[in-house]
Order: sequence, then C-alpha cells, then structure tokens
Amino acid sequence: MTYEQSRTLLVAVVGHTNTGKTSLLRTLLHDVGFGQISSRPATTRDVRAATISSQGKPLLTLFDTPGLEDGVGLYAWLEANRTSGKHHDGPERIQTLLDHPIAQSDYEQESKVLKQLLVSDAAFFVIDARDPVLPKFMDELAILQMCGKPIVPVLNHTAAEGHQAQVWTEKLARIGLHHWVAFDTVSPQEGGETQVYEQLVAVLPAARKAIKTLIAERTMEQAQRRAAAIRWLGELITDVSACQFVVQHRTDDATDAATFELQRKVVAHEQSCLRHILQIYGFRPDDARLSGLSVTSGTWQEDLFDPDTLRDFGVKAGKGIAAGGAAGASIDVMTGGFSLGAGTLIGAAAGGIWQSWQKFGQPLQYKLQGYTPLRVDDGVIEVLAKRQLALIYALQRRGHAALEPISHAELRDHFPMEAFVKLRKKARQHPQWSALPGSEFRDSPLRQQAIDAFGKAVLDSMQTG
Amino acid sequence: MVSKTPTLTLRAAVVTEIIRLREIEEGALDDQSVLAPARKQPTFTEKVTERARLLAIQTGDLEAYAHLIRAVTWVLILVCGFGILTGLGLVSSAISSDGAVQVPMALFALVGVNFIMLVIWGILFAAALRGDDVRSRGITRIFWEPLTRGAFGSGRTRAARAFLNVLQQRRADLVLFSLLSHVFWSLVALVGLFVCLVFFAFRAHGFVWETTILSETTIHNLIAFFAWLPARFGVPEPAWSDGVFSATIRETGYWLLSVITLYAVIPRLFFAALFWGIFGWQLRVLAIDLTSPGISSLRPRLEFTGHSVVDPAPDSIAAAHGRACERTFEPDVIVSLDHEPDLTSLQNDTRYWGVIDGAQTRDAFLSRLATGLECKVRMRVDSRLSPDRGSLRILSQIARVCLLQVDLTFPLDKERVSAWHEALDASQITVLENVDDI
Ligand SMILES: Nc1nc2c(ncn2[C@@H]2O[C@H](COP(=O)(O)OP(=O)(O)O)[C@@H](O)[C@H]2O)c(=O)[nH]1
Ligand SMILES: [Mg+2]
Repeated sequence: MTYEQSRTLLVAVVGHTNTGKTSLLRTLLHDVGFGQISSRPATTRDVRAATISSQGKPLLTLFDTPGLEDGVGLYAWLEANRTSGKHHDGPERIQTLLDHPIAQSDYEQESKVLKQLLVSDAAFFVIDARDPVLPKFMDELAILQMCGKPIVPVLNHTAAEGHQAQVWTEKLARIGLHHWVAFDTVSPQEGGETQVYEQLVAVLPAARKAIKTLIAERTMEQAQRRAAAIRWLGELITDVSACQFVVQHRTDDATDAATFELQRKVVAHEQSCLRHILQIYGFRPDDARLSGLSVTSGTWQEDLFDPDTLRDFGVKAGKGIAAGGAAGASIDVMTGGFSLGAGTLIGAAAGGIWQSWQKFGQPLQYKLQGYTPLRVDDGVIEVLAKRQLALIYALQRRGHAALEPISHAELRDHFPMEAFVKLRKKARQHPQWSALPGSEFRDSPLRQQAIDAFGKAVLDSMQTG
Repeated sequence: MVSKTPTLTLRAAVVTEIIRLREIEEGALDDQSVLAPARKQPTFTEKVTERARLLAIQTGDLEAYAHLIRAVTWVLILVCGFGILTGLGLVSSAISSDGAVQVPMALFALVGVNFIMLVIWGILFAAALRGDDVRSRGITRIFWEPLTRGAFGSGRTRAARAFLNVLQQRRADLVLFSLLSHVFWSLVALVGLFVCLVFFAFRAHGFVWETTILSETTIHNLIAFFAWLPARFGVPEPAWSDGVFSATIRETGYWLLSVITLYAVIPRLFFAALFWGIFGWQLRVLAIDLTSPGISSLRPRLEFTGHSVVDPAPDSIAAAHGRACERTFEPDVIVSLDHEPDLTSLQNDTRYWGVIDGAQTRDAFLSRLATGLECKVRMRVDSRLSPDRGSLRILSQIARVCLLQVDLTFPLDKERVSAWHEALDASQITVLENVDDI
C-alpha cells in the first residue's frame, strides 16, 4: 500500500491537556498563528485541521485536538462497559463509547479526540517530559491504543531542567511504544523536525513517499529562507552605504539636524530589515527566544551609532556619519564622456548630462557652495552588517537547544570582510543605489549583481564556518 | 529567483511593488483580514499579489495606481500632441507662403531631422544596453521625475517609484522610452507627409532647389541618394538643373512624397511596431522577484494553506461540582492525588491514607469515606501538574461526601498555581491557603 498524491496523510496530534499539542502543530506547520496557545488547560476545544502541501499538492494533514483530561474516568467506563466477545477489538470498543450518550456529555472532549484518531492514519502523542509518568497518562495511552492506530510519542519540554524523558521512554517501551522522539517544540534540536517525521515513517511505512517529499520541501524552504535573509542583508548594506544626504547650509545646526535625520532613517531601515528577517524565519518580533540576541520587541537593544556598540563589534569608533561626498565621485570616463557628447544633441539625453554632472560637477559644486554631503561611516555599516549576520547565523542554527547569540570572535572569523568591503565600496559610488526613503533610488542589474556577489560570499563563509 | 505566471498583470505587479515599498519604509501592514483570501490562491506569486491588492484597497494605493495610470496616459497624449505640432512646424518651414516648396528644406526637416534622431536614439539605446547607468536616465528625468519627486503626495510618489521599479526589472523602461520616441517621430513624419499630400493635391505649387553653398554635384548626389530607394518602387528620379526641377510638378511631387514615406515614415513605423511588440511581450512575462526584500518574508505567512475546524467546540463542557466549605480545619485524613513526591515526611503521619491515582484507588477511598468515620479530608495536589477535568471530577466526588480542602503542593510555577485556583474555584472546591503560597 502506498499513498498516492491524491491521498493525503492524516495525522492526529493528541495528548494530555497543556502538554504542547498546539505548540507542536505551530512548529511543524511553521505557522506562528495557528490555533490558540495558553498555559491554561482546555484551551483547544475543537478539532482543527491544517495541511502541509508541496507545490500545491497536499501531503500531510495534521489535526489539533482537545487535550485528554479524564483518562482515569474514561478508562474505567470502558472497562465497565466491555461487551463480551468483542473485548479484544479496540476500535469496536471505542465505537461503543462514541455511540453512547456519555460521549456527548462527560466525555465529549475525549470522544472528539478518539473520533478523529479513528479516521486518521497515525497520531503524535505529545508528552510534557517534565511530568512524572502518572497512571492517568498510561490510562490515556491505553485508550488511544484501542483505536488501533500507530502512535508516535513526542517528548516535549526536553529542553527544561530535570525532565523525565528517560523514565518516560522506559515506560513507553513497556507498552510497546518504541518509536518515540524527543522534540522540544519551542527550541527543537537541529534536524528535530526530520526526526519526528522519520519516526512517523517507522510506525507507518506507507507514509514514506509523502514524508520524503515533505522533508525535501522543508530542506528547500530552509535554503530559500537563508537566501532571502542574506539578500536582505546585502540590500541593507547597499542602501546604507550608497545613501548620501546633502546639508544645504554649512551651519552646525543644519548639519546636526541632517545627521540626526540620516541616523533616524538608517535605524528605521535596519529595523525594517530585522523584522523582515525574523518574519522570514517565522519568528514574531516579540518572541522571547530572541532576548539572548539582544533583540527585544523586534528592535536591537544597542544604539547603532553609539561608539560602545562599535567597540563591541571590534570596529574602530568613528563619528558615525562621515562628511565628504568625494568618495562617491569615481569616474566612469567611457559612460560619462559618451553620454555627455551624445547628450548635447537632444534634450532626451539630458540624463547623460545629469549623470556626468553628478559625477564630476556636483562634488565640485558642493565644495564651492559650502554644501556638505553626509554619508554613513564605514564603521557603522560594518556593525550593521555584522549584527544582522549574527542574527541570521543564530536563526539558521536554531535548534541547538535555545537561540544562543553568536560570539563576536566567531563572527570575526566568519565575516566575509572582503566581500562586504567590495559591496560597500561599489555602493558608495552609486548614490542612486540607496533605497532609503528620500534617496533617488534606481535599482539596476549592476546593483543586483553586486548584492548577489556578496550573498554568495556569505553563503561560502557559512558553509566553511 | 524569478518565477513566471502568465496571469501577472502590470497592475498586479505595480500594486505589489507599491505595497512592498510601503512595508519596507513604514513597517509591515496589518494583514490579518486579507491573509485568508490570499492564502487561497494557488501559487506563491498569486498569493503575494492578492495580498497586495487587498491591502492596497485599504491603504488607498489602488487609487494612487489609478492616478498614476491617468498621469501616464496624459503624458502619452501630450507626447502625441507635441509630435503633431512638431510635424506641422517642420513642414511649414519647407513650404513658403507663395507656394514654392523648398525641396532641400523639406528633405532636411521631414527626413533629415528624423534620421538624425534615429541615429541618436540608436546610439543611446546601444549605450544603455551595454552600460548600466546611462540607461533611461533621460527619460526618467523628463517624464517621471516630477512624479517621483513627491510633488503629488507620498502615496502617488510611491506609486510612481513602484511603476519605475517594475518597468526596470526587464529594462522595459528602456523599451517604453524607445517606443515613445518612435511613436513621436512617426507622428511627426506622418503629419509631414499628410500636409505635403494635401498641399500638393489642392494648391498651386512649384519645387525649387536653389543653389546654396552646396555645389551642383553635391546636390545631384543628394538627389540621387534620395531617389535610389523610390526608384526601386518605380518612382523615377526627377531631373534637376540650375535650381529648378525640369521634371513635371506631379513627378517631383510623387518623388518627394515617396522619399518622405520610404526614408522617414516607414522606418519609424517599423521601429514603433517592433518596440510595441517587445513592450507587449515584456508585459506578458512580467514577474515578481520572490526573493526580494519584503516579499520573501511573506512566504511563511502565505504558503500556509490555512486551517479548518473539523469538529467544532461544544457550547459547554461538562464540569464537575463539589461543595465549598470553611478553609481552615484540621483534617482527619490526608490523601495525595496522582502521586506523592514527598512521601517520607508523610509516612509517619497516621492520618495519611495514600495516593489516589486511578479508578480503583478512587473507589477504595470513597468506600472508606462511606463508613462515615472520617469527614475532614485534606487532599495534596501537585500544583506543577496541569489541572484537568479528571482531577476535578475526583475532587468533586470527594467534596460531595465530606469536607475537603485542597493543599496545592510545590507552588513553584505561578501560572500553574493560578490555573489550579481558577479551576478549583469554578468547581467550588476549597483551597487551603498556604502561607508560603501567597
Ligand atoms: N518552554 C516551553 N513551553 C512550551 C513548550 N510547548 C508548549 N509550551 C507552553 O505550554 C503551554 C501549553 O501549550 P499548548 O500548545 O497550548 O498545549 P495544548 O493544550 O497541548 O495545546 C503554553 O503556554 C506553551 O507556551 C515547550 O516545548 N517549551
Ligand atoms: Mg491546544
């Protein structure tokens, strides 16, 4: 028997109340918005389905179920209501219960779970590994096993101190459940998701094909996420390096005001990047797991323009904002000269003149008129890049227990400095490459090439690191 | 990675870009209300565009887009109007009021200028294809810059920027510029041709090519050059000497018209049609860069197929009820629920009965209570465990036959303790207030 693509694998997520069933679904679905999670019991009262698809084809439907809460009472009822001759037929006994009025009253929630399990291919039984192995939990398992479906025990909360996973696994073995998996839904170990699915295949070999596709899909998504995050970083470096503000009057007040404005825009852009990267990895900005990375409420705690922050990242403290637009005045004689010549002929080529003007004339004009072009200091851009990359590293490695911050030393060794400097310098030469609000942004293939080259360097350093 | 969908319209692409820019600049929009319909779309691109479209309705960006398109249309109309005026201007420079047609001037104004502009366009186009920064600087300056300058409010500015970004993706901006330029000069040439035709048909006229600084041989060569192509189509070269055409007026007229047609109108119309085709093709293969910032981060939100309720929650869940009693009394019997982690301290207490951890122990304890000897019970409940209906049912059963106080042991987790308090209150079961608990 194999599952064709038309037949979706159905897996119920069951377990005692408050053990993290809904949390497991969220993690497996990569959807932070699924269902409702709370530390109160009986939060989930309905059976809810969510489907994981690949290329639009559904592969696996997971069912979130209400918690089992009265295993003791229900098991006693089932024992008391054995019908002679059928007492080895688990599903038959469960059906007897479902047909009984008590399935609509006292055991309404439990019946929902059992009804769902009867029509599913298998179940994940979620266990809070901090709990001791109590008889009531074993009663619940015994009832679930009556449904005659393969069960994969998922040991949740294994990242907690003093968990009892060892005791649990021994007890599970005694009732024939050997294919358990330890999977802390909040901070899963690296490759944990794959392990969960592999155990599912172990108890349900027919699911192999679908699960294989699913795992491949997840691996591809992981690579996609990484590429997207790195691309964002490249864009951020380009935008901030390229941006150039002109202070109209050479007074301290005006310079201060413009500096402040530029800082504000850079910080806002960095936040935007940070939030998007978190979203790419399916985090919420207020995720508590981020505190180790000094991100709170989707904001970096340290001020980007604070010399201390720069020092922290091993960057020489500068003024934060550098004056002097001459850095942008690299000369492309061919293009500039050419468009100037052609441009004098007709108005339509005014762009050529403009461009040459921008390259040669404007810096000169600024000098003569006393305007000051402001640019963001190299050091600041370096910090910006380094901490955003640290975040990507950490998110990428999510699973080593908790989200550990990556050390600065580690970052120094793996930071693709050469590629970074190259991108920064290229961007410096093209003020129009900055997408910061207020800049005259022009995207171009050359800009994308520069960003892609940087992304490739980051990927290479990730693979070696 | 750029993925293609045949259904992506210019509107969808631009609106998506507007929303992308908005979200990058101002932070993510609240898209809860539009997620469901967006997720229903089959491909990721369609999910993204549908989300953007629905958000754009809320933000007013859809209207900004409509404005933009109106503005672009006006620019096109102005270009056409200007082309007609230019054509009229140029042709009138060649025909003097007494009806004499200055052939060299007519050739220069209606064919020469057109040709020079074609060459300039070709140079710029090649440069733009080769280089990077030259490209369409001119056109963006002239046509779009006022739009992007923020002269029309930030929403419309963003719309204009988005429009440019989308066009730039496959250099459609360059093609659009070329198309405009060819349409413009086609109009100029057509107007010239038309005016000449009307003039030649309905007014007395004559053709002159008076010796200017050009030598006679130069003029002969020029005429031969312009006569070459018409000759292929059977229009003979008009004879000329000493500033006058010796051919008939009709012959010369036909020749001049065919020169304008073959050297100006047809090449321009050809290019206009070519670029029209290219632009149309570019619009058909429009794509959204799914890895671009602001789009890539939507994947986790949109790829999800959504969830459905299979079995709805009941109106109410059967809850057990006990009987509240006074809080402080010394119990005659102590029992533990589920397990007893602190057994050693209790073992010497003669009042300790044991653990209720299943139906058997529960029934045993209840039958003991039924003897009526003891009626003050203290139940030790490990507050680290989650409260559940099963536990509450057992507690309620006991509370109905005797005085029951619940002792929440191990009050380490505040959340759990308060969950227990809530649950016990709802079941009207008395909790022993621990001193170290509060
Ligand atoms: N620290 C930690 N908390 C978890 C984990 N799994 C679930 N929780 C928390 O446990 C509580 C119950 O989770 P929920 O998913 O609602 O459980 P359900 O009743 O089984 O659906 C919530 O407060 C979760 O945040 C985990 O692996 N680690
Ligand atoms: Mg739940």
